[in-house]
Amino acid sequence: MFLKIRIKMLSNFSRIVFLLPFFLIVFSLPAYAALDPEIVKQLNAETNEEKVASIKNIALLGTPEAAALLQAMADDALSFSGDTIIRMEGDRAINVATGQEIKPLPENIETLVTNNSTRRALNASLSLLKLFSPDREERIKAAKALEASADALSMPILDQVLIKESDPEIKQIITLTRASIELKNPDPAKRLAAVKSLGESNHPDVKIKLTELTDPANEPDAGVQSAAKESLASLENRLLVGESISRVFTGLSLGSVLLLAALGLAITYGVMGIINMAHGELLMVGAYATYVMQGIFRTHFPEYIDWYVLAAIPVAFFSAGLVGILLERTVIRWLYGRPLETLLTTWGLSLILIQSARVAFGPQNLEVANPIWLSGSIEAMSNVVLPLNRIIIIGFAFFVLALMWVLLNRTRLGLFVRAVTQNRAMAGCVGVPTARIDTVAFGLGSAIAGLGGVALSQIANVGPDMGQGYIVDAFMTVVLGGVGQLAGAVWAAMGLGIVTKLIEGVAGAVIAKIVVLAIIIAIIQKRPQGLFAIKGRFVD
Amino acid sequence: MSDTSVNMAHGMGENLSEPIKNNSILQLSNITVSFDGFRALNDLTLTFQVNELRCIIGPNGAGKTTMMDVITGKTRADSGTVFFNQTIDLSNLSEPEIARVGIGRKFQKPTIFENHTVFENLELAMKVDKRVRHSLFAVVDDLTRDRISDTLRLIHLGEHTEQVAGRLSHGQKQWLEIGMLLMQEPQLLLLDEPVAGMTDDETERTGELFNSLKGKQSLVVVEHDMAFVEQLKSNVIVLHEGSVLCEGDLATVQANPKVIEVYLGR
Repeated sequence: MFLKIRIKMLSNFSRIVFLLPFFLIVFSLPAYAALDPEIVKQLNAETNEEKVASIKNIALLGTPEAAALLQAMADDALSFSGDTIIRMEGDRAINVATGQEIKPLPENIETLVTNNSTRRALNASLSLLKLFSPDREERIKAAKALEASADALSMPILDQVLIKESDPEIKQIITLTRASIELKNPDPAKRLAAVKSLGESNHPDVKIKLTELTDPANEPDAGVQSAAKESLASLENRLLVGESISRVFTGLSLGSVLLLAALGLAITYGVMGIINMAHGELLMVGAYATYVMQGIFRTHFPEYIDWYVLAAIPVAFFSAGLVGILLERTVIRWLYGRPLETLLTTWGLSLILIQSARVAFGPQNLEVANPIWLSGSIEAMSNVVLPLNRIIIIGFAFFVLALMWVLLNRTRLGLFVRAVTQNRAMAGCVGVPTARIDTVAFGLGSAIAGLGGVALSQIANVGPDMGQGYIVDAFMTVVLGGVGQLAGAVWAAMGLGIVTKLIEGVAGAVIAKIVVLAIIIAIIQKRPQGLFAIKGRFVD
Repeated sequence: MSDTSVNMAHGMGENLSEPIKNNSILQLSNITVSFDGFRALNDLTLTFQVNELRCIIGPNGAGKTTMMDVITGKTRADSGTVFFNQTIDLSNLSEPEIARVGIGRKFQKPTIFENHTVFENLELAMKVDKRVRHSLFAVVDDLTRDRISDTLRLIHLGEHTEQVAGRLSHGQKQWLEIGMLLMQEPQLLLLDEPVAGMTDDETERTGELFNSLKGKQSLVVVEHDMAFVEQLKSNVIVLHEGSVLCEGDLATVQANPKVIEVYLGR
């Protein structure tokens, strides 16, 4: 009976979804477990302190009814009449303490008003109660949220969870949370046990708590102090591992962006020997193409807005490729074999492209939103959070790399491109249309830069100047890896990314840049042909 | 269109020193080339027949390489004409155009794509539609594979198909280049000292290769190695100071007193 009534009164679908877990628990109970009317009554006490205490007391019950009541209060669905707290269902009034309908309908029903402090207490209590959710993911989330914020008041609930919970991972988190609360226990023996068990923790906040205990001013007991030091050491070790993993990951992420920028350059520079200073602007073209696709999806296909990035991939590929082919046909073609003029001309072209973007889209950075499937993150360890968009971009970079590898090594066109890279005159002699191959290769390099632009739009600002920041690093990647070498570009990009981020962690961004440049100069001195150079036209 | 009318059109009809034979693949008439007054070729007139193997020998400076250069368009003749297939006037064509009408040339130094595999080298050289759009989706079909493996067998590289060409021995590189030339299906193949730098064993196998092409492919071989020339058992032309000294099989030529004088006497 109770169930049916309750569902009927819920107008809001999301509320049903939220409460569903509690209903499931209710099903398994033999009868409605009544709440203590004295405690419930306090929800409408005179002072805020009393209300908050009442909320906490109800939460401590840890029962589904308590959760449902607090949720109803958080949703502003409660009323009162005199001392009785009531929930209205149509024109029937339900006493929340007993779950019974009140007949006849009481007079003077007023809405129970919540304020900031009661709402805060409600939210905290509700998240505590989520520890009893039947959904494992939800329980883990709740446990992790508690890990840093739990106080002594939560202890009874935590104990209850430890009895009921069967999942070892959640048990582990709760045990550590209990231990960090126990650190404040006046009994040194309990503190000692807590400190010892906290050596197993991975949470950065625990580190602060343990550090406090190594100070004699905070911790009178010498045994607890030394145990805290030990636990702190093992905790710091594990945190260091996590930090290193984070750095390597950020390095990989930077490397994958460099790779996307450098792959295109590796082709244009490798095949034609052209130093294309406008390559960064082709990244920009790709990013603006993404922005335009986002706009088109917003106005015309709002229901598919989450997939605009996928649609932007081919659009960016072809628009950047077309711009590249246009540049090659109209300007660069006439400058073959004149590297200095090419460099200056392409620099000029890059300025023209930047200004064109300013005229067309305005000088400000544009907002390109991550779709749902690109936002969020994966928490690999308590201090290792891997953003989803970066993970996907790393995958995307390797996908583009694989595509290029197939194109260069498994198609006849690729065979021709490699032949022209190696010996242009001879390729011409066996009938390869070298001028056409130049155009295609330049277009392909530009198109891949466009793909890089799609990736960049998801992690960086989209603006007219965005390409400038990547061109130098991309060139360094190509030169370091060896001209015209895919494998070289991969190793150089990932190496540069990871080394930069590792040094940044120790010495800061500026020093990292200097050190990386010095390393590159040293390597180029030793191996002018790059790390993975093949013998070819430009390295003879 | 008759041969005479073509020649008449170029105003060369009367100058022909001998009538054009109907099955000639290449006809050089009265070619003269001077470098700063030195006459590298002096009124040279030569005819090569279809599917014939010809060897050209001569001492240093006799004009052998210059003759090759004139045929392939690398050097322009001061006077005289070169007709290919009796109707195509090569003096009007550029180097790549001459290559495209069907004259393949192998240089002394092996020129191959060192970073490509043997198979890829042959695939690159193959005579197919090499336009971009076609090449993107082109696959190595059975016909291609058969042709490439035929050539591989011919040039003794069947076991090195996936080998990177740069790792081949000198002799193998020479064979690979010959194979690449054959893949282009030239009507006439010019080979400049193909066995230079080869071991005796390799030289002999190259000779076998050329002998197997005899009668199927028009070949002109410039060579110093007399043992190799003897193995080919072909008609030999001796060049001296830019013109033909004598012509005939090797034994006849070697018995010619003028030849002995040119090679030994001076």
